[in-house]
Amino acid sequence: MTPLGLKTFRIFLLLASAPGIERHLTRLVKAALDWWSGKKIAVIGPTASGKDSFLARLQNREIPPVHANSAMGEKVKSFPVKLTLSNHRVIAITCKGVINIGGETDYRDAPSGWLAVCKGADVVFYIMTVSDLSRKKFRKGRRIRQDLDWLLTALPHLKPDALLHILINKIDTQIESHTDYQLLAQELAHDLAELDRTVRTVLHPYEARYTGATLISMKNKQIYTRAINSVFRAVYSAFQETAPSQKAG
Amino acid sequence: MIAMQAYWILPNRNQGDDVLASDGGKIVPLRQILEPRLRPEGFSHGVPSELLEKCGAEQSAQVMFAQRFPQWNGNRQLFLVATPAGLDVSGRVVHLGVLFILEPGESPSFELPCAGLPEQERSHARALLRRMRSARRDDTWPQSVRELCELAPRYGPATNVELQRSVVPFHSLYELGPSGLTRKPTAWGKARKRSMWALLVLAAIGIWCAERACQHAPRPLVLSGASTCRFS
Repeated sequence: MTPLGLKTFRIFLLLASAPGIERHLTRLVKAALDWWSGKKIAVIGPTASGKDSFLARLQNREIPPVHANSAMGEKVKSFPVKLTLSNHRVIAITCKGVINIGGETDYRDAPSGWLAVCKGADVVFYIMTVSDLSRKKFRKGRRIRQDLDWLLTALPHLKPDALLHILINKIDTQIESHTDYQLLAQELAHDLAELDRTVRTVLHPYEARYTGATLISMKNKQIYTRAINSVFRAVYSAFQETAPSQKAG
Repeated sequence: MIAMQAYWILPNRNQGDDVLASDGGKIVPLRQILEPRLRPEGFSHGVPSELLEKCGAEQSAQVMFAQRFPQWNGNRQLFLVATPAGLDVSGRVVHLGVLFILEPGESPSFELPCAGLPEQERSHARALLRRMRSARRDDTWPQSVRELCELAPRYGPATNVELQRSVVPFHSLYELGPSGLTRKPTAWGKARKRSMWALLVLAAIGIWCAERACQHAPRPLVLSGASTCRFS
């Protein structure tokens, strides 16, 4: 890892410890490993948000040299995901039935578009970028908000227990362009809280399916590994919280 | 009456939220021309990543991908040709395409205006048109597109080159392998090959059976030697 990458990671750790940025700190217990095994995931999000890079990271490979703006829905071969946790335990998941699709609204609204990708998924990962967050693109009429409105219409057509998690990519770029990290942490905490409120309001009455938002970097491997561990924990703990209420309902 | 409608599908260089299109003059979101809900399953806005990965960085600029949907939205046809057109702001390959909305029996014509396109796209558009109009036989990509134009509608949704990662199955004319783009054997060619093999296998079985039969049959007594007759 380059010194810049390492520095970025250290600052990320500092940011992640700030109040309001990371909340799900439950340990990834054996039950969680069992729960994740065999789960089907869908990855959606605006163009250039990092969907291809996320798939590459899950497959433990670098982004291919010929990297293209996705032109159509394409199947991705099944692949194993191995995440080494801090306690040296390994989470092994097989990703099956993965479809890679473009992020323009044209793909979102087409019949073989996002809905086809999300049908049958246990967990839907929505990827946006940290600049979408800072530019408040989740406010009414803007792209992220349009996607959230789309998710509200899509959720009744998905698996009844399907969960949604938001990944906020490219945190490394934000860290590298800032010098006052305390201020950055405050801004991020504020924006994340606003995003959280918006998502819960827009997705009502399905807000319980939303498992939170996590800052991540597909480019910086250390940030990615730490963040994805946190995501797997967050989704599982949210599942535990929602499962009893779903059973009761 | 010529009813053909043709639109350029522009590369998304600035990573915008919508795919943009142009009739050669005005630029509008593609959704205003072709409502996303009406797009057939497997409709592509450019060159599938699978083809670019197979070709590698050096050859990928030459790729031409085409798809045809006969009997779309009633009796009309959709025909799309796309080619890589440089990179976007973050260095990803982007695509330039031409979308044709055709009446039944109509074929796409590559005499299209492109003077009104943004300057950056004009050279890619001209190169695409030039390759499609050229009769060069060594450039197999446009040749495969021309053959797709002439394909009978009974084959249903079809592409010029075989796709292995498409979510929807397409009939295809060519395949992309290590030796480049090659014509797939036709159904008749495949059947002929299969029957030749069947004949060869039958002939081999026949010879083996005949040999076995000869081994087990009672042999006629054969006398050999020389007999001499004396004539006196």
